[in-house]
Amino acid sequence: MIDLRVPVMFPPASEDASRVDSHWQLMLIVGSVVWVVVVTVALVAVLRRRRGGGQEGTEQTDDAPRPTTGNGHLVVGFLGAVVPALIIIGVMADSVLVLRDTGSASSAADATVVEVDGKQYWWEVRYPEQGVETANEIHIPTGQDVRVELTSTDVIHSFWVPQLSGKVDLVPGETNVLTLSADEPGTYWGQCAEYCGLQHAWMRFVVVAHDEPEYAGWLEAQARPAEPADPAEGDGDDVESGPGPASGPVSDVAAGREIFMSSSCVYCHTVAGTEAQGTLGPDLTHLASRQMIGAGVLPNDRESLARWIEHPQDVKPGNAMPGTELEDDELDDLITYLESLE
Amino acid sequence: MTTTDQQPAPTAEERARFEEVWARPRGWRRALTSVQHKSVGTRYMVTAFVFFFVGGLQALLMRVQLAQPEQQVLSAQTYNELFTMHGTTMMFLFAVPFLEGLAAYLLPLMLGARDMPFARYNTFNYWCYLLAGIILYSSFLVGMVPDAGWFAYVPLSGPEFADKAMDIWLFGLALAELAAIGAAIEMIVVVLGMRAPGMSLDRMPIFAWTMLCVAGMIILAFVPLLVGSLLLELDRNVGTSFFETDRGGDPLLWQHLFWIFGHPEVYVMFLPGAAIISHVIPVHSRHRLVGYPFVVAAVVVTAIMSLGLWVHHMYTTGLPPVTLSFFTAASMSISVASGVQVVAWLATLWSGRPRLTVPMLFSLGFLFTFVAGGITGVMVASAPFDAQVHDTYFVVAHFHYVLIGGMLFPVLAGLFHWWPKFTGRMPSPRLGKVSFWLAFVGFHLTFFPMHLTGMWGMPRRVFTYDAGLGVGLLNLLSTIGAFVFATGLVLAAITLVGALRRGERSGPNPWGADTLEWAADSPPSAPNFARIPVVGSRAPLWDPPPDDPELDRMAAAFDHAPQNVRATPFTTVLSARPGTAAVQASPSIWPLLAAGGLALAAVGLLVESGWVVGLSVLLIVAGLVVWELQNERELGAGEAKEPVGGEYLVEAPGPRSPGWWGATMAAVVLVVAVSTVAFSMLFLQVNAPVWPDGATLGTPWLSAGTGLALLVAIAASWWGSRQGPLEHDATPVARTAHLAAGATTATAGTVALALAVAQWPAGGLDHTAHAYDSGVLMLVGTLALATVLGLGITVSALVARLTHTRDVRPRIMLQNAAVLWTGVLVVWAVAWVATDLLPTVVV
Amino acid sequence: MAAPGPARRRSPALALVGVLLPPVAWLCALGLSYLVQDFACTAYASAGHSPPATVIGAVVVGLDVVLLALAVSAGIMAWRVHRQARDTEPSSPLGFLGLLGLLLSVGFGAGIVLVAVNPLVLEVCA
Repeated sequence: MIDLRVPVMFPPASEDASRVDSHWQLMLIVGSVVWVVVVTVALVAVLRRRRGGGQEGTEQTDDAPRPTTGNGHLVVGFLGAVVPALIIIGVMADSVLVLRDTGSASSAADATVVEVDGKQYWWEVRYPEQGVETANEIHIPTGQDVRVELTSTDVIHSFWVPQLSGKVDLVPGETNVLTLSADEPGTYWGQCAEYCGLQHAWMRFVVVAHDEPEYAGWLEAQARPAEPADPAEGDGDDVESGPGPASGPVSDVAAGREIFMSSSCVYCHTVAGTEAQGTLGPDLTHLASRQMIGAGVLPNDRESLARWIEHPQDVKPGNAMPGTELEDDELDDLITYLESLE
Repeated sequence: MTTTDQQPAPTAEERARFEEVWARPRGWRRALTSVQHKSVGTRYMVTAFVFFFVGGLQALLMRVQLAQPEQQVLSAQTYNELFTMHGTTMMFLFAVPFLEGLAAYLLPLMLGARDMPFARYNTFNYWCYLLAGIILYSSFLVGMVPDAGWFAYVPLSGPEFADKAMDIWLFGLALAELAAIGAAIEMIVVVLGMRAPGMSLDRMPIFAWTMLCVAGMIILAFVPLLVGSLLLELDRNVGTSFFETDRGGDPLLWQHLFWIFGHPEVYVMFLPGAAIISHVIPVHSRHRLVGYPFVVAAVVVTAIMSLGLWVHHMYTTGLPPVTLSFFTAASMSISVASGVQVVAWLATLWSGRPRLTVPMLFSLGFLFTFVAGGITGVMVASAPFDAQVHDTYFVVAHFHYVLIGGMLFPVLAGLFHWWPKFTGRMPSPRLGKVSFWLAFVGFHLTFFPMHLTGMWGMPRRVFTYDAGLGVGLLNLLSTIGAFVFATGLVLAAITLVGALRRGERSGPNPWGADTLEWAADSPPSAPNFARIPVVGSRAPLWDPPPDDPELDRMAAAFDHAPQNVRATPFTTVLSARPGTAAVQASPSIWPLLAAGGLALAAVGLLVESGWVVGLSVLLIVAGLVVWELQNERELGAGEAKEPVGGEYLVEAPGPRSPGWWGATMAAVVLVVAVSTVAFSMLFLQVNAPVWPDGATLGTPWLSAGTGLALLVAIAASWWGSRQGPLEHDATPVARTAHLAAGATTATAGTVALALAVAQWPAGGLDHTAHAYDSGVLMLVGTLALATVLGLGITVSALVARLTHTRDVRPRIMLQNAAVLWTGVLVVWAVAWVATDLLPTVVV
Repeated sequence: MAAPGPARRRSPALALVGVLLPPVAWLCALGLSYLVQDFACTAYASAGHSPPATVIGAVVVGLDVVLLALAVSAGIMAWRVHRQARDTEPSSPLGFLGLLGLLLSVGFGAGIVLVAVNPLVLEVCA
């Protein structure tokens, strides 16, 4: 599974991350040299004048202990204090400069704002200016600083996208700010890095970086409420404008929608534009557009959705969703409906 | 060490009586009543190693679960419990107690003393620690294992998200901390006052310097954690609001308190490890440690600076860059001090003729491993880099390099080094070497790959990881390494235990070592030194004895003496000139009763049974009272009044006897505790979005009255401590004066207690309403507790007055009371500043 | 120690001050820098004012300079104790304590400098 790379921490994919990466390379080189020197000196010291091998503990003072010579102090003082101090000052200087370049969160005033709310064990993501709400997936435009405002409603979490930036904690009652940017379009995975309870391991997310136009398109799509599933129930003219979902006839979607709306799903989930307005769980308005479900525990496909809906506590014990018992065909329709929420 | 004076050599009868007074209890009594430092130290070390292997087993289970991605060997719940208990066990039940035990065993021997200064208190601390471990592990029996991590961040550990398992954790922790603080007081007093005549500060073994610094760190760092765990317990069960944002609290306060403890803790473990190396390398290279003053300076710098690094555990909590950078500077500075020590060891190796004995191998293993851990330590000290690797396996690798490299390897070096001293037997070098290589290779195979797993994105404390992360092979290597490592450690244990029966007899000094413990028998006799050694250099066994009649006179006076009471020389702080004789305790079961009472109190609170709590309070009080009565009865009846050798007073006031130091340390602990609460309140006040505007406790008369009563208590006990003659044969004259002083002090103290407690209802605050109110409750409680302690020592002084005919002992006890009451007055002042001054001054 | 003159009786105290002052100075430098900067910036921010960063930075650096001076003078004092003890009573621990004080003064002095440069380079209230 390991692709051979030099021990760079990760392939950095943003300006800040590259800056930190070069800081790391510097420390790695300096540190390795120091370690090699210490180990070499110790080995030479031990091996060059080793007293006879063999039994220990029995021989006695054939060789009397030797006194310390006066320049021992100078050696310890110079090699032990002055040289490390110089190295440390160098590393410290680089650290302060990197911190100055990357540490301040409040860069551009007009940066896109994304609010991220840490929950046990998933991420609520909001774009307040655009009125978009999603979960476990953050879309950003490339080459721009995005201001991520982090807070938590339960315990402390930590937001980390290894390739893009260092981590920042989500602390209840406080809002921390992180600047996110990506040089190239792509999908970058992220994860909760502060132990937050039973399913800390499965509190993942992805950051998807798009070119500017693609990003605008994504935002616009996400801002729209859910498509009405059945023309008969819809508001009229706006009938199935796009190509229909790949997953089955409209009538199954309608049936699934019926099941959704009449089950307990609606107490926790929102599907914008419908009567489902629960807020405990992730917003499902555009569920089908996401890559994963359960904050990274399963891929977003029919089979996984079925497992998740029926046995969420087997898949991810301790998450807030209860299992739902459905007949096979009901489940099938429900999934078809969910798959239609693009 | 020849006798150069005119004192006659002790007769056979005197020798017999001396041995009688130091005789160890036999049979079952030995297990329950022995208070001698060697028994206590051994128990500490054995218990700690049992916990070590339990913690190691937990680690192996975790490694099995992580061997492959997305495995389900363990459930998430089990895994989280295991990593919580692994950290808790290794930190609180293995590393710190083991080193306390090593210090309890070695310090008196190295310094030329016969026991720890307060041997019964020493035992009490051991019992507290053992019971703490039992309480923590009882969580497995009742099926409520703590699972919030060894760092227990709120809110995850708070009332809303954690069940009773967290209370078990907090009570166990508190008891273990209490034991550690007690052990620290012991170490400070033994090092400062009980060194062999002539062992001035500049001739002290590095281990003694280190344990002195470590003890100071424990007092400054463990007290805040004790306070922190109390605050959390109150939040959980009484409804206070120290950590809850809505009511003025702040979850980050916990992190500050925890890491103010947690970072010094790392050095509390590493510094003794380094000190062991500073003894092993010179002995096994037959060369004095090069740069002794530099090493001492480095130890002091490390100890102090370690108190100022805690924020580097909080780099990602959203603190401003300048704050981060202050602590980056501090964290990096400390590595220079470690650099000094490393170069001193290298220079010693270079100048000497090293032999590859087992202790030397483990020392080299330490050097290679610790230096690597130190280098990654400098890396994570850099705030921007730490933001990347914080809470990943990189950090797991880093601190295992530092802790296993910096503490476990030195401890193994030390065990192989001192095993002949402990047991009189040599462990097998062949098995020892095999165990070293297994442990060394296994360790690096386990932990080196973790640097990469962390860099490539694997966070800590996850029960599994995504297959797509690409760290499966690295994790498999770590798991294989863990089993190799464990094999090495088990083999090391087998080697050591096997030597008990099969090892060659070692004689007193098999390595030709330089420090005083090697002058004692192997294993040491009950009093360690029938004749106290005198010291004229840093390597007393390598250099000729000093030609100093004053020192020899003290040694001769203590030659198989005194014979009516256990005693050891007490010497001056700077130069270790002959001073007085410190009385040492004989076997007693009462410390066990008192410690058992404390543990029972914890159990009572856990099962929420008023009856059990009441019973436990009874046990504690009874244990302490009988303990004190036994102390006074022995001192009074033992007729230990003749100065030893006609010259060295058995009881003396002020810093010339251990009691004064003990009282001073207790006062310091109280002041550190109340300051922690005061700083916590200041922190909350500055950071809280809402703080009651200008709120104060507002009970000026009660507060002033408390202060006044405390002043009266100080004045009365101080006056009493100056009444009556000190000479052992003077006619006692001050009985009435002492009784009057004691009674006045007790009355004033009671009034102070009543007034202090009355502040709470009079202030009309509601501790559940806001963090400020909660803080006031905590401060009033701290002041009340301090006053109760003052009353306790005052009652002890009265008991001393009633049981002694001479005036000396009551004088000393009243003086100790005066010292402690002064501490209580400072507590009162700090509490007032926090409740009434700060809210009005800080806007 | 027979018949200590007044100067000699004072030197243990001086030596102890030389050993204890530098650590205290460093702890104060770090603690106060953190307290003043973090608390002042936070207090202004939560009161809704923009904090006077330059003033806060100057106060922090000023404090550090004073503490640095303290640490250095403790070192000089310790060095004098060391010289005096080395010449007059080589067997006493004062010479050692003097040297220790000097080393601590250098170590902690450097530590204070490393703390004090931060407000000069970084934005004080970010």
